[in-house]
Amino acid sequence: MAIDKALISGSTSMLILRLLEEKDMYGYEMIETLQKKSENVFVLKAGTLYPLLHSLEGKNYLTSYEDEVNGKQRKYYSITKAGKKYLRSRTEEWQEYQTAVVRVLGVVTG
Amino acid sequence: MTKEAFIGSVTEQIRCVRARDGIARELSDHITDQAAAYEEAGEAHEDAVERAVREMGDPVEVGVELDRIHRPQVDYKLIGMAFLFHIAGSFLLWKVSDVSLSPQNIAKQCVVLLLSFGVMTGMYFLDYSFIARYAYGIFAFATAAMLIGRIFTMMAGRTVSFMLGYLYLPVFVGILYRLRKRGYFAVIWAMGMQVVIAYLTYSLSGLPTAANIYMMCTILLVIAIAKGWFLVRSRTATAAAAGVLLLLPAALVMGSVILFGHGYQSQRLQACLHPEHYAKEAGYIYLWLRQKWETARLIGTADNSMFQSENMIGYYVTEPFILLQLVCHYGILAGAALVAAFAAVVVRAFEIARRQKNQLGFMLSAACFMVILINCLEGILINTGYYPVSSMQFPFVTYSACTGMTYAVLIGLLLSIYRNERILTDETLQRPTWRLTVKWEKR
Repeated sequence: MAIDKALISGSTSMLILRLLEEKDMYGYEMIETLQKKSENVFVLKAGTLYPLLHSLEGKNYLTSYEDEVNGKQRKYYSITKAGKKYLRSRTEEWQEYQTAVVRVLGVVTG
Repeated sequence: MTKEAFIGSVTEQIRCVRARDGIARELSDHITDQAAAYEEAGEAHEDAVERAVREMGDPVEVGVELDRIHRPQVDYKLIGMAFLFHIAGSFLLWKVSDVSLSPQNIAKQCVVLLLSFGVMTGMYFLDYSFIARYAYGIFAFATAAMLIGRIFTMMAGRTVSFMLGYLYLPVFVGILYRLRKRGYFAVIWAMGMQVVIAYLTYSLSGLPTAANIYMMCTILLVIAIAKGWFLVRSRTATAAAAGVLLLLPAALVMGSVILFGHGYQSQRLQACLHPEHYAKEAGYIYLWLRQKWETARLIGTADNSMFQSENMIGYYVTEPFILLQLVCHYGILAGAALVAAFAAVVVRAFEIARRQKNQLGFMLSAACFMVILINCLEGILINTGYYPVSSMQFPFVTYSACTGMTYAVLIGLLLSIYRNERILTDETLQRPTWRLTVKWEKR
């Protein structure tokens, strides 16, 4: 199902941080994992992902390091303490928002 | 569009040249991975690459967005403080010290200010990674320049500012950075360099400055070991290095006491700790300082003639006592404002050090922070009579061109580190294609 981009864009950083909370990943791996986990709902473009990753790194929510895997040099991203804290606050915010939307939609459709 | 054309188009949008390589590599890796996945699913190589490139998005949009993130930053707070405090410091010196407002003195101070601003601006625009790349060259040049400078100043019957010795600290960080990944040999070499630097500063600047520099070098070395710079067992190496580096001066002190008895330095320390026992000798200055604080008023003049009338302390009426002079002229609140100004600079330096993600930037800013902190702390304690009166200079409040330039280098370095925070990473610093400047292209 195609989802309106505006719905996703605000929460992309939250989704990325959540992925990195599980393990360190490189850019391509993040897009793949996100697509799989969301069952093809979130198909993130690399052109959106990298500026977002660099911006989160600038805000100290992520750090990056280079590591060699299977003979290939990869740039891995790792979530920081500040990133985890930010993720918690965004998740709470999101849950509150989601509950409110469901409540309203429940009233409208019910 | 080919992969190269896409990456070229993205990087063209990024004005900061140093940031381009890392971004190009990351995007190239991504396209390669994506194309490989398509190839695995059965597509021909060319088609797979073309599709992977297409899915990256609009290269100009991506480039503009990355340019917005990877641009040099300006630390307006520190720049504002540096300019304001430099100018305020000069007025303060004229207002409360005993130096006359003659045209000659005003011209000299203007030269000091211009030199400081010039050096600070130069450092700000310089790519600070040159300190690591040319650490030994800078060390040799600085040592030769200081020795030659000393000879000339001695011939002219003057003394070279002891503050210049503190400039060895960023150079020491550069040396440590050069020694990374070289094991225990690097730790021993760094300790040797530290002793050499301490000896040089001792002969150029005297014992108190050399002791401070030695202590700061020890802290920097321990941090470098703890951060894994030398690929050694950090606990063992830290304990060994710290042990040796602390025992060495202790042994020197013990040796000098045994050989020469309680010398001049020991007497100075005793006079500061128990001034009442040495009231007619070296203890006089401490009793006098403490007495001045007791008679100081919260607001207003306490005794503004004391610096001229009391000949015994005439020798000490220089910039280091500017805090006490200010308190005696305008009251304790004015002194508190000066201390708050120093604290603001120290806190800003700490903030810059704390937020650095690349290790060279962190260590260099930590070195700058320590120099400013130690001198301010020492200065406040000396002014209150609770620290041996010795050579120290507050930042911004100085007639000395050398002192002004030393602080200008340190503050300029902090500004450069902040400016390059989002540009220089550990990866870009380690690549052999270093350039001396960060190019900023105007659109």
